[in-house]
Amino acid sequence: MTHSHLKIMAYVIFIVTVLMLPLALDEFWLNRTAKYLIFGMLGVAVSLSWGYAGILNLGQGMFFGAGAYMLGMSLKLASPTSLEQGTESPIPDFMMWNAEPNAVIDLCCINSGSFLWIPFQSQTFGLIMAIALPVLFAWALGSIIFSKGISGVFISIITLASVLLMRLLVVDNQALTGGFNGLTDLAWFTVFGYEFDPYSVTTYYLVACSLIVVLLLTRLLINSRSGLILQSIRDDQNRAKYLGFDAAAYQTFFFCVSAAISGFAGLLYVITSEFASPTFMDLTFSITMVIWAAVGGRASILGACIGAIAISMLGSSVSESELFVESWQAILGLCFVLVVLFMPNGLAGIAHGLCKKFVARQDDKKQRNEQNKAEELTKGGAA
Amino acid sequence: MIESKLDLYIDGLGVNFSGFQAVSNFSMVVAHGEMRVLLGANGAGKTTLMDMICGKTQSTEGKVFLGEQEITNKPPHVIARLGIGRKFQIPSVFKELTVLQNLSVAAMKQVSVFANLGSMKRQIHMDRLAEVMELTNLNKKADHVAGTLSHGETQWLELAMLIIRNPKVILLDEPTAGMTADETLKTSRIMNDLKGRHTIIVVEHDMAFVREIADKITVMHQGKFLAEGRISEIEKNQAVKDAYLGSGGIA
Repeated sequence: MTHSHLKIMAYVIFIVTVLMLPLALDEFWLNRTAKYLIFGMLGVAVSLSWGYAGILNLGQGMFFGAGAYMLGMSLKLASPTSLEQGTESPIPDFMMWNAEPNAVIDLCCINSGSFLWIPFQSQTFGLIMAIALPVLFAWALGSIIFSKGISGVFISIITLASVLLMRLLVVDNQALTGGFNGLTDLAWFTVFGYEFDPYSVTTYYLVACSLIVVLLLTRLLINSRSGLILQSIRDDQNRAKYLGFDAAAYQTFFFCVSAAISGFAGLLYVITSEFASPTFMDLTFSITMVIWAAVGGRASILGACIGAIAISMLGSSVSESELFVESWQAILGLCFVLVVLFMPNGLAGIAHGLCKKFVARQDDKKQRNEQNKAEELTKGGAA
Repeated sequence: MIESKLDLYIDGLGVNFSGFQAVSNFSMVVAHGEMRVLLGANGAGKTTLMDMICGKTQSTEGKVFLGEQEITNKPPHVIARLGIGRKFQIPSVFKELTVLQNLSVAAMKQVSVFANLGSMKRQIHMDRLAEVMELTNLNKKADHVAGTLSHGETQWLELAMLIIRNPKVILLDEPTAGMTADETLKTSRIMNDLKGRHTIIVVEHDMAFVREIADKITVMHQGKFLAEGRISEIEKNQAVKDAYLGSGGIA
């Protein structure tokens, strides 16, 4: 058994577990677990950008939030309340509350920005935008950052500022975005007349299969030649440049992929939780994502994914007991510090080390066996 | 061999770092397949000159040609694609990747992101990989992580990455810096093996090593061209002697 065999086994065990869970869980827990799996997807996105591209993004929440709001807008317009209001087109309730006394009750002009909502009457448009907008943001931000050769902590500062800026814009434009309240009272996600009840097994499988596909595709991407070049750029950007690779193009591309995964996670989250909120763009949430990846192991896609699932699962069950309500954030912070200090490759790093030992011992055994056989043969020959 | 063909042509190159003229009006012609050594005291502008050739530093005057093509102040990756390889003074390799992975990156046939989304095998110069690992004594280290190599081995790995890329011109900045005598000897063997296959420009202080490898020497002093010629000519040159003995520079 080699190291890569063990790696494949880890993936298989994870995938099978995720697929078997509905056998053991009730509706309530199924919905909760689906949310944790979505966080797992965010772990994959952070690992790709931090562990493989060397880009510590402290604003991953902006991509997640953008994805959530884009599909959220479509689902908001499709909700019964919105459909009842307005004459020609559905109108979200918060737009009614914020409308001027003599405003025309139509999406085109109830307020100065409401026309932006018009295309979101199509759920497909919302779905496409939930991936496209995060990618667009990432591309715009990335092509500036990377072509200017900005690196390290400065990227973290810029992304951190960006997510705060976006949160501010969303909160400040209440008439357009629902402000602090976010988007609530959403319709169910519907495909060809089939409605995805957030508490159903179908929705769980939608999320689970999405996660598995994302996990495997990301794995393929990392194993590709571009993935190797990306890692070489992480290690020494200049060396890669002077070999002829356009480092900025590689970084921007993978930054966009990471954003696309986050946007995808955002849209799935809206489907399972039935709301989109500016808290998605809170700084604490973006930093929590980084902690997931750090504890799980940023240099391992599966490790970061499992780290995200495990910590968020632990977090929500622990913070239900009174003892930990206040202290959970502090405990999480402490975990992060300890992991960074004592196990830089996280849980995946430990698993990696154990695998190595296991493989080495097996090889040892094999060698000894062969030696013994050889000795017996020579003995037999002598006798 | 086409002796007459020029590979690198530098015409009046110079750079001014906000008031400080690091290199000025420097010209040099290097023929195809030549091994040229750049000499000069610390601060003579040798490394700056290499930085300008490979696009790391933007020159403020003059031009650089690779063959017929002008490459002055193009972005580094473009210059690298056109056929100039650079080895840095402080060895820079991809520390978290294995030796084989380091060399695989260097051996990729394609450079763009989208062209490289496929799997590893076919798009790598495999044949060259084995040959270069043999040449640079790295064949037993293929699976070692580059960060764990000794200083000398790291230098060879970076050299190997350049060779595998197969550039027309190779710029080497002190390839034997920090090497033991034995390692230096091995390096000079590698260099002599490369002679004629690539056009090579080397910055080097170790005169024993220079004697071992050089065709022709160019001496720089205080950012300017000082002398050029075979090693015996340079050793007799009065201007070079004055500059090196520090008699107040050249008048």
